[in-house]
Amino acid sequence: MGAGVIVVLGHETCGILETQRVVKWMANESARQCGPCAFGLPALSDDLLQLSHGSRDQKSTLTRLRDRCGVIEGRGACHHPDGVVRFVRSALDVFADDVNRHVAGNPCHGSRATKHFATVPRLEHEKELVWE
Amino acid sequence: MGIRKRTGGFLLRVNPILCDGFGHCHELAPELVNMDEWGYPIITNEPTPLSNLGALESARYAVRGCPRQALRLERVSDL
Repeated sequence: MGAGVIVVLGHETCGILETQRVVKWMANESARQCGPCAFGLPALSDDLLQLSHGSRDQKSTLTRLRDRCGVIEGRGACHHPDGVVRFVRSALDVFADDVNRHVAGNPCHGSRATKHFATVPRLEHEKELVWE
Repeated sequence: MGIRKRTGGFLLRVNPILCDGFGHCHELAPELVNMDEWGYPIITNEPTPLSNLGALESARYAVRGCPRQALRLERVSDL
């Protein structure tokens, strides 16, 4: 239909990584007027990246991600952060099997692939995306 | 006349755009304001009864003490 909101993910990709790329873009799109959005959304993207690439303590990463979702929701002046939070929650729900596998310590092959399916505009101000 | 009955409750509200995360509200009204990991206030959406004089006083302190004047008190008539 030509709508740019539906992306068909192939087998050779990682749903979490694709989600992370969209969330990162959404974090970049934040107007940065409210703290929970300006700092929270990059943190969500950070957590998702950790979850996809695998780190030592995946379980706590997942818990932190869920906690941060709850903390951010409803605390912006607009509903941009709420939308991102719901997007992340729905991704964790849909890719639950993948998430479990990542948490268990064997991330899928897609998380190391260089091919991406979700087309996200290039970040122009990536350097401004700081949260520390 | 006589003693005015304190019915209803109040809500402490923050304007998230004005708030810059100074953290004074958490210092002044710890019973009403929590803090997230970035230093921005988390305030409950549940009204506090006006009969809770201690909380009301600290809420007033928080409103007056906010460097960005981002806090306000809202009266809720029915709890």
